[in-house]
Amino acid sequence: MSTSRPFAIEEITVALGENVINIAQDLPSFAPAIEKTGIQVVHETSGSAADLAVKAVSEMRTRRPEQIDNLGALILVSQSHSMHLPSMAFEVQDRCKLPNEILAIDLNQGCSGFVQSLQFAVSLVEDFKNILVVCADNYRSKLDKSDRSTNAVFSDAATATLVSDRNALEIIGNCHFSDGSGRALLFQSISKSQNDGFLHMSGSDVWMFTKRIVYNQIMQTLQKSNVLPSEVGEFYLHQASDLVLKDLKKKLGPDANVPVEMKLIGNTVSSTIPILLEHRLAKLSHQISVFSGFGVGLSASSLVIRPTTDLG
Amino acid sequence: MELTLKTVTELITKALEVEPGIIQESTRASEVEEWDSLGHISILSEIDKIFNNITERCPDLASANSVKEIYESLCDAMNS
Repeated sequence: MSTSRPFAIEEITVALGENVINIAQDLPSFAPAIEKTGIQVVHETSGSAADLAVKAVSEMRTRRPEQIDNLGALILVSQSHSMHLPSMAFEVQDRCKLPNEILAIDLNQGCSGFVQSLQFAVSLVEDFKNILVVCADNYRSKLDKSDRSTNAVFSDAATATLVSDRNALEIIGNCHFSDGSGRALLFQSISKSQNDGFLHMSGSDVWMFTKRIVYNQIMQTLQKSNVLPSEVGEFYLHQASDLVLKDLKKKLGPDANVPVEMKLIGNTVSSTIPILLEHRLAKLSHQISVFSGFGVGLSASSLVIRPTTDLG
Repeated sequence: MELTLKTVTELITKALEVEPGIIQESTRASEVEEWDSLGHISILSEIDKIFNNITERCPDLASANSVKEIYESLCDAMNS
């Protein structure tokens, strides 16, 4: 069992793209995809990922003003940068009037981003006390409008997760997988030299990667943590699409609790797990939880988290 | 289910939810609108249902672009 610093997830705020797209009504030629993806509605912003991040952080400031005023670090997870430099964290710091005396950094990551940034945040929290993990993407701006496999799936969103050093939770196991040989399977080039600058996803290759890696990684992480699958209260998995989750749920077994919230939200990239957690935070204090994010890179990261107090 | 070109054709027809006759033994993905990236995942998912998760040991299936290529990849996987 690994030694980990105690932490708490105090609050999560969410900002979805303001334009609601009902696939059956607004993109009728993509309607047959709904049964496969499980996604009926996606959200699109006409602004930037930073705009969404600012919305989520501003809401967090309303709810947790004292902790934001005493913020130690901002970790911003995004692959939707409108500037090469400086990093998006600085725009968010400035627009949200966050303290100057903070560490502000970006993590260039997609669907594994929340899990990976949470791992970083927990490793820093003893020194930094209050850390904001902000996930923000507007993938829809990257899409070829004729591409059904991406247009029927991705949504624009941002989430802000406040992590503190309060003694509530601990990470008791973690596993990470990085395979750059798969980088051509899900990419967007900076120039228009590849795929006309649109996001390209080889859905079947990414699906097969998920099948090959993610379940085994979850099991490996549980084994490292000396936790049986039957002892896990909830598996919080990246909400890629029904096609992906269906297979994972089947492997985890009928008794596994796997919350799903994509029908009216879509795949919000690194925000999918915080969106799942938004109204389930209290559950983390009473059960062992698994967080698993996977996708672009290709990458997969899984954590086993448990309350620091006895489960009883 | 026995593995033949005919059964692969039927499996693809079911996965893509197209009318019988659209998918022939000679059909390529580029000839069928429904056989895009999402459609291909549906095909792989159907293959796994019928052939006991065979895609996990047959990575070539991800890039198979025709009925024949799928059939040949499945034959290779079953014979290995």
